[in-house]
Amino acid sequence: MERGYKVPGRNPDSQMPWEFFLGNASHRLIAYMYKVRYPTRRTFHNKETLLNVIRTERLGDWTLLSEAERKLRPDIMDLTMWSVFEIKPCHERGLQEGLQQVGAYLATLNRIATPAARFSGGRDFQGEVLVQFDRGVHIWRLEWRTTTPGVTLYRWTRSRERLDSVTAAYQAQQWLEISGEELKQYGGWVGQAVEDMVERRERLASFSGAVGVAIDFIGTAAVLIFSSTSSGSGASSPRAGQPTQAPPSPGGKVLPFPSKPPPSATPVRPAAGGM
Amino acid sequence: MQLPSFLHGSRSETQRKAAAEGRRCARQYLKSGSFTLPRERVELAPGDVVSLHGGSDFQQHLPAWRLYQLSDVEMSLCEALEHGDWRQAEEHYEVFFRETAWGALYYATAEKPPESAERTSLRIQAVLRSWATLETARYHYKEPGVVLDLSGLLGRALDWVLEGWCPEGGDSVRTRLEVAAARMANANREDCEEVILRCLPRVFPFAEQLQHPETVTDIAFWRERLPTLDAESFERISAASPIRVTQLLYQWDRLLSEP
Repeated sequence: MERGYKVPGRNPDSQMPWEFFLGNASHRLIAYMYKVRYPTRRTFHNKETLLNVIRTERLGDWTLLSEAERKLRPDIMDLTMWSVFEIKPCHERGLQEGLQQVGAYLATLNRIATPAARFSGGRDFQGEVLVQFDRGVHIWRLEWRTTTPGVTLYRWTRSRERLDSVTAAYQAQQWLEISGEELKQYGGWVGQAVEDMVERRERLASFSGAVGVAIDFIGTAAVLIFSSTSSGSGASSPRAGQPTQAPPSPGGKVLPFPSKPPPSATPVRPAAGGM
Repeated sequence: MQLPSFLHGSRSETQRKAAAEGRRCARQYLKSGSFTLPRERVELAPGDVVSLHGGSDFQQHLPAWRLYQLSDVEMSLCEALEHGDWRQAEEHYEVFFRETAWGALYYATAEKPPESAERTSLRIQAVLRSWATLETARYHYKEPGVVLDLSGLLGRALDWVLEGWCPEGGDSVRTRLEVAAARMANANREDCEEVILRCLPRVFPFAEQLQHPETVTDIAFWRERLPTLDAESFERISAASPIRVTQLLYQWDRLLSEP
């Protein structure tokens, strides 16, 4: 059992394993990106029970739901497209669990909802987010794909080499699996970085109203950059694979990636210090 | 302005108290077929801000006025009356509490179906009746940290009503809402269809992943299809809410693909 990441927002004595902490952050970010990507759709994420969505949106007779069904919380419900998504880590077990859960959501919804509302597994939702932290030494990438209807699988990778900028990392497209040791060391950081980013983006999105969220896209992938610099008492900048014992806490800014940069484009320099 | 005390506290506290209020209302409804106002009401202190949108409530651990949590009262009321006529109780709840200033504001801003022209008009008229009271408070809506006065709040939350039903503008949000509410109240189906058709150019740019984009983003198609909607389906969109119109657009796009 891993424990004790000293990151803001996480209890230092937490017994929550790092996988869960990072998994929560991944879920929140991916579900949030769905709202950003499709701002005029009526969407709910897993803060809402299926029961409450069915009742408030008048989708059908919620009293027919069993006790177990009332507790279901799909990761994304899109009431414009009548689709549901479950977000899972990208491995066979994740896919199988996702399929099982989506099957349960669809069976429930299509039993309860009026005939006009026929739900199906969501499609065509993919994207990626780059997370940069610890004085730019590390650039991690969260990518997600929906290759099986309703199941959005995500995975984390990291840039193969230390690069000067996220733009360079994006253009290099050389992503490696993250070792178990790296995940243990940095998973808490990244989880917190993502939580912070989502909150910031929520604020920005709210300022922009239902439309016009200032997030850029490259091809089909939505790309945001989170820049997180180390802070505190002169913490060292560990090399990938050579983690320090006491990771500094993250802080930083959200920087939009330039949309479709030309090959000679000047790399974006994150405004945070130390980059 | 006075608000029921159950709406004040941290988010978890107000959730718990709102659920209890829903059960109280259910007991009252079973007993008398009506509701009574919550006994404990508190005068807002100077500087108090009333939160109307859960999505922008980021400091959930702090005590605040959380009017948006009337939705928890409704959920709790409906669950408590699950084996009875919860639909009618929910309708009565809105009619009863819409006559309070705080209830009027909740229903005018909660984006709660059915967003028909008739219902939306009733909700706006209720706010207009309580304008003087509501004007004494300040509000949070979807922009965290941004404090709005009543005109600012309603100009933001009901911008689609103002644009759709009072496009010529006016002296103030209040006067435009008066005009819009009167027009909605008197609108027949053809009037509503014209407002919907006028709002389409603002909806189409956000319609993606369509299978029949040329058809469903053609206003002539809408002009032909809108009169064919049954009364219940039309009620859902008759106020021309962009969210509901977008839902219909995708519904038609799917139907065109079905054999």
